[in-house]
Amino acid sequence: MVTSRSSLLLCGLLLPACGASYAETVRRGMDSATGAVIAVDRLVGTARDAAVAHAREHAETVEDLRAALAPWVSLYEDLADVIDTTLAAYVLLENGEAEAALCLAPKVLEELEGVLQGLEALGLDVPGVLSESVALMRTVAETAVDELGCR
Amino acid sequence: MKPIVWVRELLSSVVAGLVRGLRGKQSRGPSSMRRAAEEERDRLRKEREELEKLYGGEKR
Repeated sequence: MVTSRSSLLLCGLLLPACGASYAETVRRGMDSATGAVIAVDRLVGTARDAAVAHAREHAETVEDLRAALAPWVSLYEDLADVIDTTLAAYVLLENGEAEAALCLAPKVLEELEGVLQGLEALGLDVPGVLSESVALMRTVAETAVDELGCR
Repeated sequence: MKPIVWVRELLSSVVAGLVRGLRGKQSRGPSSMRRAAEEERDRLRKEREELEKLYGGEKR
């Protein structure tokens, strides 16, 4: 309580410095999420091409093809969601809106978890870089919720 | 040096440092990771389009 009150007082006195610190926190989280998406995209490329080739060869109906590709479509939607949100955060950061950017952290966390579940649904290995990014983004999202009340 | 002058100089150097730090941060151009994210967005878009074409039922 005392620490929290002191940090609030410090933030009140040194508001610009707190903004700068939030910016660094968000930047670290978003850089990590971007790196994780790039890594996952590269890692799953071969498996995706193989799955597509297999589905095209063996699917007897359009429905079969759709069923085989649905988890891949979903994974790529999740990857695209993460990138779109991180880009929105970078734009906010560049406009000096560090707190608004920080409030995007819970959304990025949810989207990263979607990627993680997508990989698991496809039976693919979860790269360490993604697990690390989820862990980091969890702490960034907690900061957003606890300190700024973001939902 | 009188204490009040010393305190004033200390405060003004702290404020100047903060302002300098903030200006430095704000004038920074797009980060390399942001550019990487933009390239990845374009790459993902292409990959999704190809998957969705198939998903929509285009079968050779």
